[in-house]
Amino acid sequence: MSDCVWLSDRLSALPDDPADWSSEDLRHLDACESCRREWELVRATRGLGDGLLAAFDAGATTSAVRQRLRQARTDRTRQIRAWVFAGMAAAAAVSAVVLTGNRPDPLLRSEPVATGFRIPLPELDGLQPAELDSVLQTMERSPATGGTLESASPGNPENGDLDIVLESWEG
Amino acid sequence: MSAPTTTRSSASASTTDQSLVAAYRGGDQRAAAELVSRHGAAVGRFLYSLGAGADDLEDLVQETLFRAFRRLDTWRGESSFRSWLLTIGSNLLKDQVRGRKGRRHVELETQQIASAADPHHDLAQGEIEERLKQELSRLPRLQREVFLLRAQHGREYADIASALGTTAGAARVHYHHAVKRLKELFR
Repeated sequence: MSDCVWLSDRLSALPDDPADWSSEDLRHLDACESCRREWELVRATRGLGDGLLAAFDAGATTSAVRQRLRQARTDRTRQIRAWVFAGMAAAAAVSAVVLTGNRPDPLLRSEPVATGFRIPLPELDGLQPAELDSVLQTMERSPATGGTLESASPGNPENGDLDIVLESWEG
Repeated sequence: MSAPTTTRSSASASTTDQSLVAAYRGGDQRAAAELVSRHGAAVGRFLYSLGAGADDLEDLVQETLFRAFRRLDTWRGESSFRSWLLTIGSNLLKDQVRGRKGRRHVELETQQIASAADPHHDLAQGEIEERLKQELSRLPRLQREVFLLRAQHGREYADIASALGTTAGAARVHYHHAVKRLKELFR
């Protein structure tokens, strides 16, 4: 017996009850053993679970599903609130660490910034305090620049006051 | 015959289902009730045919519908609402069976059935049902689902293909393989 596909191909379009089929469809079913057996198989498949499903209560099922959906929404809302609270707590903790960790301690003295700007004057390192005072007095009396210490640059070839003082000591 | 499967055209049924889904998304709870009324029993029949136990059927149907309504926005109409719903149920049952390590399949195989040695024996309806369920359980999963969606629920091959992630041509082949094997029960 060959496997006829007439019924297979038309299955979704055929009415459930063969009484509603066309005469052509009925003739084919009567003449084709393969399609008859397939139709018996289809009928049996459509009847699976008839006894159980006769008591199916759509209303009760709908109510049960709605209840579960409501509960799921409530659970979801609680979960979101918990996550938001945890996030805010974490953000507050991080902020506290950042703010307290970066604040400079007012009791700590900051390192001098201009350590590299000290002007080394090795010639003066060996002078006694009285000699240093004499140097300062001489520099303050200098007429060229108004006597300020900043203008008395030892390396400035146009200001020879310090050089004059040094020559007087060295002889 | 038994509870009727759909004989409406797929286009009109899906349009109506689409309207109901849209209404439910808009807050119409009656639309949900109509969808359950329209498809709930079919889900139960499908799951039972796939091997679900009678004791688990009510819970499985509820869980299937619950999951479907929770992710209703993922149904975009590529397959019919019925096929989409049945696929959710199938995946749910598969997860349950996996969790129970196939115990359900063992239960089916140990049931007493009429002998198949005499092909002309007029089997009672209950025996036919049990034999059919047993033979269905022996089919490959995709073949079993294609067969049920076509034979039991009258789905078009394109709809079946969309729901199961295959092609219409492959679905047709799967169906014919299943029919060839299963209709031996009715010699």
